[in-house]
Amino acid sequence: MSKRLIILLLSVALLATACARFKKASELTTATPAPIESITQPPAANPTPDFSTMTFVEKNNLYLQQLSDRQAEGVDTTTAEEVYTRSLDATMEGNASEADQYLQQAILLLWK
Amino acid sequence: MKKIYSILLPIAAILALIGATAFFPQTALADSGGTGSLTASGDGLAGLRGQGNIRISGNGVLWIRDLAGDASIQVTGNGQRTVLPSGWIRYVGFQGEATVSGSKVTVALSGYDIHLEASGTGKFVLRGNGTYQAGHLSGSWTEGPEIHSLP
Repeated sequence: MSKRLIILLLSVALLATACARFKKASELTTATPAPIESITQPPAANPTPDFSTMTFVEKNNLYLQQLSDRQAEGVDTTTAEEVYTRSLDATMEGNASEADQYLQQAILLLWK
Repeated sequence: MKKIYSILLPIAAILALIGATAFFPQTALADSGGTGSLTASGDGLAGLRGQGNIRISGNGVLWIRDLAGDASIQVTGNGQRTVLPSGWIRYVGFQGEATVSGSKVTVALSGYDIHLEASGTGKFVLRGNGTYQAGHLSGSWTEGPEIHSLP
């Protein structure tokens, strides 16, 4: 009699455990996804200029404009100006690739 | 074997030294260049290196370098002057005219409405949009940094 009682109690316990697990699993699968609106979007960055489509004068004017803007904002432009000096040195030596590379780098250093 | 190495090593070192000297890249704008006069107008970058007299006006950033230390430099107008460790004197926000004379000077103006008059010996680069007259030769400013000698 006692053996039957123990088996019965164990069966009930196993059934209860199984039911609890099944309930928990169904809660996880039916969880409501977070609303898309709640995800914070980063601010859109100003796209960098496409240097490949720009002439030297356009790039040079862009540098001068950026330099003027950043200086008006009180930003330290020393690094960009040093890089532009390298572009000037390369220009005076007739080194086109180096001159353009440093000019573009100077623009990007000032770019916002 | 050691004797061979002791002979070959100094020879190889000497050959390497000669090769490095002979093939070291020369700068396109050496101190040499033709002698004559130049007038130019345009937008972009105008630069001249050599000896003589240079008068340049316009708007942008002005650069002057005196490599011999004997230059006479007169600048009128607006611009924030800075002397850089590399020896360049820079005027940011330049709007005016500069007159420079010396035995080894470099003058460049980056910007717009540039007018350049020079006489002496040296080389120049005119990058951007514009025209120039060098002696009897006339031409246009170029997209790339092409080096020309004064005629």
